[in-house]
Amino acid sequence: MAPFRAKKLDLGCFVNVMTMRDHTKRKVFAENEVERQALRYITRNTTLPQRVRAQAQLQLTQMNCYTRYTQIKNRCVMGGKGRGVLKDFRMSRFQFRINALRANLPGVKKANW
Amino acid sequence: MAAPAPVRPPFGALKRIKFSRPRLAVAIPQQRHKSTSSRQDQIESEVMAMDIEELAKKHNMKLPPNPEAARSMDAETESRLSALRLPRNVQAIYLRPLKREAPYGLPVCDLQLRSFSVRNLELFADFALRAAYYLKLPAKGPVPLPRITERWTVPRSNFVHKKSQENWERVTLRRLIQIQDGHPETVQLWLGFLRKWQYHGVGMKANVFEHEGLDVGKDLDVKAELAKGETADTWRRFGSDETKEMQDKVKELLESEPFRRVLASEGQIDRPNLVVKPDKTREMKDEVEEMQDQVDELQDMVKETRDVVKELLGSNPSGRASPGEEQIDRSNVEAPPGEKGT
Repeated sequence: MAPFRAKKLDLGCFVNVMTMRDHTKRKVFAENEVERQALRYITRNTTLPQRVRAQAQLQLTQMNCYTRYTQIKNRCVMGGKGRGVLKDFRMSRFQFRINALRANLPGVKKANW
Repeated sequence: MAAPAPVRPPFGALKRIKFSRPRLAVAIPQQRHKSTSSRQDQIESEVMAMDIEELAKKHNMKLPPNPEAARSMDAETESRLSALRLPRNVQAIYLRPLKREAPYGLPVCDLQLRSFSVRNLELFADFALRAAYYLKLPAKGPVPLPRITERWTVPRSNFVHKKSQENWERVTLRRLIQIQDGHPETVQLWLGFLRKWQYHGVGMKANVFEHEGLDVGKDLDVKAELAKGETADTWRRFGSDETKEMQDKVKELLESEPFRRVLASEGQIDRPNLVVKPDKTREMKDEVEEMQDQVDELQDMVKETRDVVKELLGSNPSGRASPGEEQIDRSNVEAPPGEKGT
């Protein structure tokens, strides 16, 4: 995290160590996505010589973990919680409920049928 | 002063505005105790009791012109005035939107409106239809498409207690307006107009269909020529994950240091598993052939000796000429010394 952390905090949502780390990971992934995709392509292209493919795989493993897509986690924007986050609202369940009760979410109402 | 007198606003032009009887408890000065020696109170009480014009005369005040008096007219004019109709376009607002007839029924544009609430959706759909009428676009609609319901079940508590949950939903209402047989430019104009006057809470999306004549071939050739330069690359990669950026990066990587070394060394390395030695097989073939020749020779010799033995024993004088004998007679093959002994 140290080499990638922004000097000035550029986070819009709830500020938390986890949230900052996740935000940094997203930025780093965005920067390196093209290179990662290219290396993956080389690794998977069967027409290329084996040694080249192996070299690409090696280079891929040597890249920082912050460049990996799988490290990114959707966190709650209001509380920084990593679990129970609804994608439609970017909030965790309890925050969703609080905001829904306060009518902060357009169109959301208590279901009754 | 128990019964409240009709409320008359005390000063000037306020009198011209007609008030309805206030429902709420308004503090009417009448109810106050009469306070002595206050000029204002005196005036107020006078005002409450008397008419404005009389008051003005009494105090020699000049009143502003009375708009009601100016507007007053005789009964006939008034009746004719009230019978006068609104302009047609204003009248149309109070009636359902008019629609143009589509001669061919060919859909040109599908406009879908989405909202969480009915009122502003209906209003905007109405507005869109009226705009289409004035642009001479035949419009069909508003067709109500099925509602989209999203549901979430969420625990009520912030921690544990999974058994007590709450259901939430979000219902999206939709309306479809279809334009048939419209000129494409007019349709674009209509869409731009709606975007300019878009209503809050209503989302819009439009599918526009363009049509070509039957002699499309010539146009297509020209278009293909034009498109080759700009969009050829994009079309080549259409539908795959490989973007131009990525492919450029691949090229760059393969030309960079570690890969270049690997590719260069590719040619020099032997691959022992894959190399076949053709010399050996030839040798083996030759050997096999030699051995086969030897075997054939031996077989011939065996036949020879058998025939000779048969002759000596005198089994069949008239009989068949064994093929071996004939061979012996005609050929000049020499029997090896070892064989003759047996």
